Amino acid sequence: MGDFPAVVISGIVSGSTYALLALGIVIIFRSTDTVNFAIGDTGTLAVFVTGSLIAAGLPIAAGLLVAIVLAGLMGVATERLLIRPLGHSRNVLFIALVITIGLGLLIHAGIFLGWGTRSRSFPVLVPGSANIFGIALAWNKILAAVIAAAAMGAVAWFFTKTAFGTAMRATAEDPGAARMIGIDAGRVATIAWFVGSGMAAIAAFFLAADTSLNASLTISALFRAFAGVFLGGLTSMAGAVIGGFVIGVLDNIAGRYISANYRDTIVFAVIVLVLFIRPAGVLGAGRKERV
Amino acid sequence: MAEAKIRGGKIAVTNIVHRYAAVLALNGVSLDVEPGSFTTVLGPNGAGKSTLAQILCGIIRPTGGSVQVDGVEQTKHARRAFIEQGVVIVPEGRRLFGQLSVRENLVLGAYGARCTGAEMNRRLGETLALMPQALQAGQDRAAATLSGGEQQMLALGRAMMAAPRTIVMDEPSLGLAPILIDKVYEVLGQLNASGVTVVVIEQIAAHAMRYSKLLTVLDQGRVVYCGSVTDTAATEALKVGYLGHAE
Amino acid sequence: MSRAATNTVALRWVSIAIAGVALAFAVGPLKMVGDYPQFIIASASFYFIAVLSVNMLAGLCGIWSMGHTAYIALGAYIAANLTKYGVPLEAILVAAAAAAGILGFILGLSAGRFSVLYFGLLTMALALVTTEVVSHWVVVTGGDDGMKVGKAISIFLPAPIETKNTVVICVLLATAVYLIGDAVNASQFGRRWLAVKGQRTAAMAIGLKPHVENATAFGLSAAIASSSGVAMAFSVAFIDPVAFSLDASITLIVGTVVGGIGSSLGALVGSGFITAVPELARDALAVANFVYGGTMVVVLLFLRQGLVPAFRARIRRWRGHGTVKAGAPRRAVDAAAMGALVSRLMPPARHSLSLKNVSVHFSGLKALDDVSFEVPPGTAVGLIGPNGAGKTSLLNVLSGFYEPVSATSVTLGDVDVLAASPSGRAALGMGRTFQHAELFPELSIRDMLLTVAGLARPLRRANRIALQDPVAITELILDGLELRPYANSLPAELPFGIQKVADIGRVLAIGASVVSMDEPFSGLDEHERSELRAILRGMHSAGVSILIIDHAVQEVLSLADKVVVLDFGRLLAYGDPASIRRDPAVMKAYFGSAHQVEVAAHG
Repeated sequence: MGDFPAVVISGIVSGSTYALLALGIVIIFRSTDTVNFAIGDTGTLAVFVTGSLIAAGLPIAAGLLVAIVLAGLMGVATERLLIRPLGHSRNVLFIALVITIGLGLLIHAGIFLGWGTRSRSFPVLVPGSANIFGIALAWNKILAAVIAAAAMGAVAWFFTKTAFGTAMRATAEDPGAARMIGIDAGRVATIAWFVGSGMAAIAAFFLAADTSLNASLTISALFRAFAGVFLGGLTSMAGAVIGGFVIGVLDNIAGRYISANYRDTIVFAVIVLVLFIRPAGVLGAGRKERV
Repeated sequence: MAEAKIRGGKIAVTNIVHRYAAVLALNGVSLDVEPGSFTTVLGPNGAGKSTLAQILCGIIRPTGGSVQVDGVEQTKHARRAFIEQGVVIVPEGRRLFGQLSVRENLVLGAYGARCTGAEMNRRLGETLALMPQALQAGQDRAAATLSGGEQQMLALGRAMMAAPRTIVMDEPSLGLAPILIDKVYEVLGQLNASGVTVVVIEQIAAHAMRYSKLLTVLDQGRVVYCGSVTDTAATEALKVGYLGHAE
Repeated sequence: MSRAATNTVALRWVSIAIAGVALAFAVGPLKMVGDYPQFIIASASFYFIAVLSVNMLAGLCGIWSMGHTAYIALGAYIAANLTKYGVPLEAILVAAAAAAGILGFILGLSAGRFSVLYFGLLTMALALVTTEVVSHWVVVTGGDDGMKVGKAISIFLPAPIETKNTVVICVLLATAVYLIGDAVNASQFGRRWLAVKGQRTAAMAIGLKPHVENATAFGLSAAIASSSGVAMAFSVAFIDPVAFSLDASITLIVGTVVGGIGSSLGALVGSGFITAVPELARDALAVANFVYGGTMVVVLLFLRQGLVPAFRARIRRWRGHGTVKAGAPRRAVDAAAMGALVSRLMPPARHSLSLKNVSVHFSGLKALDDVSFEVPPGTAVGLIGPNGAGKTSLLNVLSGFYEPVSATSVTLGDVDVLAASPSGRAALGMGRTFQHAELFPELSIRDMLLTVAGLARPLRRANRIALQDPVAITELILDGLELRPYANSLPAELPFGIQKVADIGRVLAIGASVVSMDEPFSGLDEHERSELRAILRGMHSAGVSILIIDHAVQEVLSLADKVVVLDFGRLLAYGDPASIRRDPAVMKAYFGSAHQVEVAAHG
């Protein structure tokens, strides 16, 4: 039991990445009813571009902001060009998902074509590591967790304390009524995709420094983020964040005490179980239609 | 007491024809809503009432016919223009945001008006004063937890937050106990007395007839009567419309 | 279907079969192509089978499975393991199909609980779990290193099949699967699944059980997918688990989306696409994915349904089928003809439909409050009342879509109606029409009537109806309701009034003697209303029990023998139309104050 606290803390730190991605997924889903499978790849591409800019002289800290803006703009473009034209009929939810899968393939392949297949290194903002309960934890990872928490806190403030944030929550619940009140659904969609994609960029930025920069950077994290989203309920922002952290801890515990080989298995098994047993998630609100 | 200032514009719809899916909802409807009036549009289900209500507010553009506000022809993206004209709708079934609190629902009502913080607080205070005690005390309650009558009042309050010059209310009595319907109509009456144009869409004549001065009866997408409520022709039209000719 | 049409279809199938067999032998033993093209054709074949399995499920059931690689894997590993014991390939195919079919059936049973989106996500998660199982269960699968596959043994051949000749197996299987796909599409099964896909509630009202239909379709689809795995195992002689990754599943989806759902041809085009692209891209995997992603995005944005259906829709429009047939001169049905038609299809009602103390609550609202009344056999009972009075709730209780919070009984004769599931009500002889017609969007009027008439055989037999053959019944209804010009049209191509007549035709095809009608007059113009009046009078005269709710109060009062008035969920009045008309309580409910009641009563 000696390193249990360390495992948990390390899990929470990793979980902050999953929570960020999960929050991005839920923000986009609640505002535009789209499960955006390309969100991870959007962040990855933004970080690739940023990496090239950093290699050309851009300060690393500025790089984080650039990555967020780049990813945000890509998200806005995706919504405007790929999702909005699909309209609002019955099957659109699934078609939108498939289109984002297609987009993910495109971006993934595009990265290979633009930057080659070799992994590259990505610079850390803060070098070195701290000693937490006997485990070495990179300062950069801790910074990542702090920034993630700050970003999520800012989003929470935005959604609950500002008028526009309230308008976005209203649109997520009933787009028709929101339009009757005078809320501009297009603006809501644009901001939601910008914010959601921006979160993915933050996650990718620190993931790249932690592992290495390659086209499949966010795939593993994205699965865990989805596990967190389903755990918390596809419609609950708070649930997604908590779910992300829970999965981070679970993942670490599984890796440490069961086997490193089974980490993925357990994450996927969790997804299946949650989807089967409680599709609305532990914290999610009941949706009107069949979940 | 100062004379009520009539602020709304005249909404005139002419020869409206509207189809959706394969259904002909309205078939040549013309109606003038004069500023300051209290009109009831009556008719059974399928008569086209809700469609007409949404056209009066600029939510739907009719497939044929013209819509004018204050003599100005309304073309596309009309909802924005209607909001600027102060035309507000309380939709059928209320359409509150159940997951948001009472207060948040009210605040959103003023969203289209984009008012300052001070103005918002003033409106909030005024509107809450007219709300039932339960809502005043429980401003943080989720709207979905309210009873039917409380929801209807909240929906009306949300509309009032927009400082409307014209209110269109679609089936306010749906699912409400008679005593609550009275309360709703009382508030509507007060609004009308203060200069707000009121249009109520109903299936049941009962309450509307007591407050309304003008009556339009729709049947199968056409206007079958338009005029004063007290006219005996009005009652005759209602009787025929609902119960058929005596055999 | 006419004799000529049947012959065309048979000819098409025979020619496909011959072409397939010819190709198999040309490419295999006759060695008319080189090694590489042989490999491509084999790959294209087992990809085709895989894509078809996904395609069929998506097209007929609206279920998109992103995890079908699980069943392909199952087939492949069963083949690999059983060849170790010398099991012939025919037995392997059967074993794989059975195993996959059962698993698929079980999964399919739960499909109804989820929306398309969630179920897609669930199948994706299952695909991920499959890759993990494959990776860890080394004994059976060889783990990440893969597994060799022995030679295929056939019970028809003396010696094991050389690997290079396994292309014959692949092509023959693909041909068989192509024909199975077409056959299912044209069969009663295909039509039933389309009905459930298009309108779940209306499907239940005609006696279909959606979760069973979904499960059967899923089972069949999984069985087909497993044969793809078997073919692949023998063709490549080695199983590499990367073939069952999530990427592979997504590739199948790409093939389905690009080719388009709804036909074997679409699956062929789609599988051709996913076979050709990596070959053309050679080793540049990135280029292949780029093309996949780009094509899928373009197709979904511009040719929503996929290449083959988009093409077919264009042809359909060019042939003039695509537009609403407005203004086509059509004789309205008259009451006498309707009565004669109904008598041939349905026995007169023999039992009373009786509701006692039925109450329905929704989140605090009493939609129905202790309502009791009867519909004696052969009578028409009207149900009126202001909106929110509970009329629709009552109809939904009768159809089984709502369960009353309390009820003493709802019986038809001495049969307990509440004990039957919604799918079981049709078998009791209870039918229902819908306010918005709710026809099945992907079935032509004829196909819909055929399907329903086929389902209702047991009821007709029990009622000793002389006319039993579904085809004959369909033609009779098409003629009797003057629907012949619209027989091959889809509901979206019909004017609303015709849709409602077709809805009534559906009830006739069930052979129901107790019919609930939900706002039949709504949305109809005067001409259409007059026809509907005739239709209802005809049904009435033939002895059908009718319960009709409508806001067109005058229509109901002129047609019904008895009228029930509901207000705020309670029974306000029950009597014959004349007394209802004069009843002050009814006036009050509609008009309100005593003054108005006075004026209305004496005015």
